[in-house]
Amino acid sequence: MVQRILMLALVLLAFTMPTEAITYQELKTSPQFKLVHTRSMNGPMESGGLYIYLNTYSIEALRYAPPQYSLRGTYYVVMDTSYQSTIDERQLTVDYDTNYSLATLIHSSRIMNPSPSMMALIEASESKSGLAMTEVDVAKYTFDGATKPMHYVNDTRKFPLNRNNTIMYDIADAMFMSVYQNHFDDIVVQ
Amino acid sequence: MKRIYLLSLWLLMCLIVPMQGQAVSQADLLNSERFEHIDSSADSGRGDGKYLDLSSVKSVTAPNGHRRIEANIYVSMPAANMIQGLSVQYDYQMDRSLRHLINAHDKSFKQGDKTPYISIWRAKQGNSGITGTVNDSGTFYNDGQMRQQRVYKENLNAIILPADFGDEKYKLPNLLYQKAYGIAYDDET
Repeated sequence: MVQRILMLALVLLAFTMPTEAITYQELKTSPQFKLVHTRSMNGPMESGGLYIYLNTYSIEALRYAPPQYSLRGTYYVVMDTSYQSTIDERQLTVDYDTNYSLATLIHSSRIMNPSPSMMALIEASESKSGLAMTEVDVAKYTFDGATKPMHYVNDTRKFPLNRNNTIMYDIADAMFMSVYQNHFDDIVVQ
Repeated sequence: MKRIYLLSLWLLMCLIVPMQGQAVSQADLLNSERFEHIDSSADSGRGDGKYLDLSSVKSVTAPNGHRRIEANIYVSMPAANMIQGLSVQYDYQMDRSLRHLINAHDKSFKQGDKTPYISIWRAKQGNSGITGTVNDSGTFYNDGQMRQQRVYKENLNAIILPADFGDEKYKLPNLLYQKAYGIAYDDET
């Protein structure tokens, strides 16, 4: 009896495991996956592209206390180059504080000073973006969805996300956009 | 053969002489009436860093929609007994100033265009509107004596260029612009 239950559990496990895996085809065709960043690589060593897809169905609001928000979601990094054909699945958590959004900074600089200094605005936007993130590796797949062994390096510390970090910024903004239908930097805190 | 030798000597003179006339010492650089220290996070606070020769800042002719400024910058490295002088020219594209881009964004926003604010920052990161050229250089000891030292053009450029938005090297041309026109470049409409 116990053996039968174990066999059944194994069969069920065998069926459920592949459904969690992801294929490149699914990422490209399913509407739940949004392409948020692309980068083509045409170097002498490697050619191809890097594509980042956000699973818009995976996003959950961990905190909603405007002007502060916190969202968690899953995204996929597709490396489609002459050397690599892999999909990395990662889970990203971002804390948003719209007190520091560009729209708020521009708005408050106008209110405080009739002739605001753009240099002060640049400095404010560089010193704090209002975004902080942490991410964990989840899995690695081939393009047809087979899992690949991976080395997990997960740092759970939160660190500030700079606007110059365009890849992570784009993912964080796409998460915000899919939940609140607005770009993070367009929210004005009056 | 002799003519070629003499000609090459003349050429060498032409390269060395321009900055030689502007030799400065460590003590000169500390004279705040003549030189302005440019704040940098890379400074140790022991007298090193970049200094702007205030008397050298001058605007020069530029094509329509642009402004150009020339100035001399000195990079002091007291521990290495070295001062690197640079004669630079910055070109400013007037329709890329941050205020101009924000005003243009707000105008099109009122007309229904939903371009996000971050696109202004991305546009500036792609082209800050400021390009710089190092036209001349000279190397000196701390006491202002000329130092015979070959410095590669790429290394000279790397000291102050490129003036990318979001980079510390972007602040210097804005400061120069303010000295020349009384307003920061990014405050231009």
